[in-house]
Amino acid sequence: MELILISIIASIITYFVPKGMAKMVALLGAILTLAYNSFMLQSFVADGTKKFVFDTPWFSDAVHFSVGIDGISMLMLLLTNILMVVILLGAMRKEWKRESLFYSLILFMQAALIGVFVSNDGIMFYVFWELALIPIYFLCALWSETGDYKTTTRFFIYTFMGSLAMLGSFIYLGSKGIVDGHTFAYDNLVAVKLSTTESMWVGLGIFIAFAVKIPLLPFNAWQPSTYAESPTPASQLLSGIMLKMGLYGLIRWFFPMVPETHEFWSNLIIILGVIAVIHGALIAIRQNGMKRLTAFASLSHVGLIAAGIATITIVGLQGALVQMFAHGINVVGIFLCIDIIQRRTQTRDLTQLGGIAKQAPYFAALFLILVLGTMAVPFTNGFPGEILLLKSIFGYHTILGVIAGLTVILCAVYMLRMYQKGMLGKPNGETFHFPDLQKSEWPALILLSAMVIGMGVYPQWIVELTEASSENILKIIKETVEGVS
Amino acid sequence: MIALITIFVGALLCLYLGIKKQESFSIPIALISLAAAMTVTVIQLLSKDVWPIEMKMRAGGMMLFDFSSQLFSLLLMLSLFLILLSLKPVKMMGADLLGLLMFSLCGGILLSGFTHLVMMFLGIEILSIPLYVLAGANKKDSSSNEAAIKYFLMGAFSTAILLMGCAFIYGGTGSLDLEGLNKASYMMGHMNLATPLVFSGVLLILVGLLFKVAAIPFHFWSPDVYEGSPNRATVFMATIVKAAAFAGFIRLFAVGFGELKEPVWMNAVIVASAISIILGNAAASMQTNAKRLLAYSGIAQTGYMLIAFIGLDFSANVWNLLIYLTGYISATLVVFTIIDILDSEGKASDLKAFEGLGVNNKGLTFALIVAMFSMIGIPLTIGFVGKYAILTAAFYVKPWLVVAALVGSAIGIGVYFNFFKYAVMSRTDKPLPKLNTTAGQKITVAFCTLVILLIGAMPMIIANFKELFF
Repeated sequence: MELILISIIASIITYFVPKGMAKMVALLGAILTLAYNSFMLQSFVADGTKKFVFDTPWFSDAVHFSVGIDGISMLMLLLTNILMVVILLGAMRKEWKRESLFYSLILFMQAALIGVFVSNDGIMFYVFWELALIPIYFLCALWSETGDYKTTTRFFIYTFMGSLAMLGSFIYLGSKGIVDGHTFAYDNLVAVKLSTTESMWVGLGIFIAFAVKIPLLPFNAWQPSTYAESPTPASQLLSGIMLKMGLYGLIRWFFPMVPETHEFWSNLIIILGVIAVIHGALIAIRQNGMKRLTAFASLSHVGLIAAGIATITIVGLQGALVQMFAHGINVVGIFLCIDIIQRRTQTRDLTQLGGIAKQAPYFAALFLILVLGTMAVPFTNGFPGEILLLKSIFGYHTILGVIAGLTVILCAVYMLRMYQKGMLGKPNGETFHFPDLQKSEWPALILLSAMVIGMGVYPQWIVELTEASSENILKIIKETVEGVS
Repeated sequence: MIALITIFVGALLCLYLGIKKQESFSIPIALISLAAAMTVTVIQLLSKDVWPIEMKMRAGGMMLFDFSSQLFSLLLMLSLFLILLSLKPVKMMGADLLGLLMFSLCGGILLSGFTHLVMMFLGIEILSIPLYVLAGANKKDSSSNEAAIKYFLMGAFSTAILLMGCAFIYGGTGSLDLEGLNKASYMMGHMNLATPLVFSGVLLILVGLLFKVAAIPFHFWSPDVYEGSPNRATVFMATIVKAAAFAGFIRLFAVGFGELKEPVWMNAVIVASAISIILGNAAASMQTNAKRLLAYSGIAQTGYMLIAFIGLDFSANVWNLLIYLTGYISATLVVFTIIDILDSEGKASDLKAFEGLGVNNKGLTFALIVAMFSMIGIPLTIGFVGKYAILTAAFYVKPWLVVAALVGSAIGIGVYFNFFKYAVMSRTDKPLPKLNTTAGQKITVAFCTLVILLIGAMPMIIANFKELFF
């Protein structure tokens, strides 16, 4: 509750402060939110129940403004708030036109994202889910790199249609649930018993919303061009945090809502996920635009995460959560590095780059750490999550597991290809005068690389933080399944 | 009743001022009488916290100013107040036209409080006849004349159908009073005795009213009339006429024919609503003229409001409709005020006129964006609150209608994004200069935006208010 308030107030203040100060105020707001979040973490006990509960009627008695934080929410909040500081640090290097609006939208986005991760009520979840879409739409469209808003509008329409389907499903669940009192409370929605047919339709609605956001394979048409054409902070927000909204939704909302047909959905999501892993990786290998490459790499990674979630095992969920956190950090870092390169050489085409490592050794070293993290080399943050995910998929179906395992190889191919073509070799005209890191780039990249290594060495804290909550969710699903059969 | 008389006297005064050639006083007089009428209504609303026993104020047994009628008439008066505020002084209409607007409003108030079909018919006529004149107020403009003729012919036609429906109903039930109709329909609904006469009577009345609110398939007049009429007449049609027709509509169908819902009229309303939403949005997304676009989007919004009729609990239905109408009217007023401002700068009502609005007119652009979000139904605007209320109520009855509504909403995004496309996204070389706005226009836009956001963010404000009365 307080977190949402802090970032909304910061967002409003940012809009009204004079031009030069907007970025400092925004950064201050983000740091304040992060500080408050870590303060909450101090007193947080990860026993699977909701902490920091705040509940008041909102629309009517049926819809409350109801927040509560358990381990999974806490993890996502930490990810959001840490990345927000990094994204702002990265964005500060550049002069944006209509600066105050720009930073204000980013902070507004943060408030909406926090709302999504803490919400305890179906309609409230939907409200914040939509709210997160509005700032990112304007960020992508108004500061678009190509000046073309069509891509962004397509993205908006895709996601909005998905969300409407989700709203329909929630209302249907609500109409089946208790009539008086807090109809749309999480616990009440979860407790609704559905027949198989109903469960399929309700599941379809929610699935479309999340699948568009993640994005899973047939719904990914908006993704590459939106990533490539948006300004870097928007790409970072989209890939680093907004994707996680979809994955978080799968864990928290999707499977507990439709446990009746969970086998069908599990099969579907795992197959789609594994296809996305291979599909994304193969396309990424052929890309020369660095942002597009990262977009497809991201598609491949989240496919694996979604598949892991869909196994509905504790290993899968744990792996997914660890990997969500890691992927957020890595992809934001990679986008930041791409932006640094682009700012200095005016290009992000791999065929025109090369030899940067010679000119900027520190930058190259930090970039390498992020690349290794994405490749899931042992002792980086990508490793524990990926191993857990692969293990869970192996347990589900051996052949699918083997296919998904190819990601380790393919990912190494495209990430190393990017690093080699971009950083190594002889400097050419574009990269000859490549200055090393400056000012706010230092803290941003150091922070990210430190987290890559730190999490790789000690991933246990995430597991401890989320274990009880994950087991809770598995318990909910299991109980309903047993009740049906 | 006092409010009605106040407005009527105000309208007469305006006409008198017109004769005396002192037209500059007419707008203040109109505003004062509207403000007085609103104050009276609010006092009446607040002083009677027990409804309906004490608030029965019957005038010859034909009117009943109960809670819902008071609220509807308050909404109508407030809308006209804001419309009059937002008129530019240079374009101030003659006092006679102003008087006509006020007379038309009287018809709207009658329509919101009738208990007798004759009174309903009178209300509709008083509402419409001044508008036939207003639609043709730009005498030299051929499209305005076309609009007037079209509106008049279509209106007369629909009124005739409505009247025929009333006659059939009288033949079938022997009553024109709402209470009598209620009793008769209770009998028929429960014993399954609806005769073909009653059946066709209800459907004919339905057709007449669907004409007035411009629902598909009775919508053909609306785009042409909206486009051709002068702005002030268009905004009046888009807001007050629609709201008043709905007020009468829901009164008749909730109280009078409530028990005939299942066997007779529900399916017709559902079909009209689903087609209106989907086709209205689809047609709107292809328009290039802002007023035509709003006409089609108004058709789609009508479709949503029709959904409010099929919920199970009638008093909740009235309330949901009211919230939805408030949102629709606020958003429409914002857009029309902006169109009017652009119009007085010499821009046509093309969507292209919005090009580059966002560069120098931040406040107006913000209001436009908020209004469009409200029309789409994005959360934290009143549009979402209204849609949510209507759709949840309908879900218990017809889930698939809600699905159709959601599909329509998805199409609707494209419609309202047309405004963004020109106002915000376009990178034109010649953005619009800072536009001249009067204080009244600023107040109207600011007030509507505030309503949209405030009720959108904290629906509990009005939800508490509702519990006081219902």
